[in-house]
Amino acid sequence: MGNRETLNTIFGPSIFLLVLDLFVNNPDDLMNLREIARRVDKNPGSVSPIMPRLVERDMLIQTKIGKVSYVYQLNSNNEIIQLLFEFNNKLQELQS
Amino acid sequence: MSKNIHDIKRVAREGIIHVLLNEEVEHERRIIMIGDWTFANIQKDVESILNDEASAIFYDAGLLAGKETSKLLLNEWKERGKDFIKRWVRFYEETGTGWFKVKKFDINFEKEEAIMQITNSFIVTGYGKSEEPICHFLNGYFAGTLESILGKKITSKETMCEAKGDPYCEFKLETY
Repeated sequence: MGNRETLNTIFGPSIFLLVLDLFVNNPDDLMNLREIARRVDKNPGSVSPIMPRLVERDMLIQTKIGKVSYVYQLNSNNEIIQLLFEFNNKLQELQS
Repeated sequence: MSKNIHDIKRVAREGIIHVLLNEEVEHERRIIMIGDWTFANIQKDVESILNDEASAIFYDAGLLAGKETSKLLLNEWKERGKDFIKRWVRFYEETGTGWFKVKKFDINFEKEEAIMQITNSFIVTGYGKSEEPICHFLNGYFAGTLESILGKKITSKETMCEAKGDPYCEFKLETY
């Protein structure tokens, strides 16, 4: 599905929003930190500090897959995430 | 005049200091001196506005600075490998810029990973106590430095910090 930087363009720039955009555009994808960093074109060291905040806010689900390794996936059941889906859809309608 | 990187040239009545990298003017770089408290205040102000995002800003700034400076040093110095590291350590300790004191800098060239331990980080001495690691600029700086040395993409994590009460600041670096 790629990565439209909708939230980051409107409300950013912000790494938090850049990562959120990535997951909202790819709701089924499981990604580790390196993959996330690669897809938003940032160093993993820049991205890692904001990951706990996305997890604490229940926007992402963090799953431990190794001793110190985690993968992340969008929490599509989160009400704010569902609002973001609606927001993106309405914005697309507006822009088409 | 010597080509030693430590040499500086003060430009009279212009308020400018240059680091002499070689005798060609285009390879000079202007340097400035600021207090550790000034740097820390800038960081605290950015953190008060941007929260967690601030660490990324300082990390990215350090990453770029580390890459660029190390490229210049690699161009200027003949030493390579462990000898380069030894000179690099001297450069950043009290004989050079005085940014920190290196306790340990182990690079595993085969595995392309490293552990750096420092004390007296200028960020810690300026910033004071913190519940979280705060040396974001140095964290990025070491990643950028190792990127230049190894020619690989490197990421770094500060796992211990004197500001938290740890005995030293520790950075774990690896390829990605």
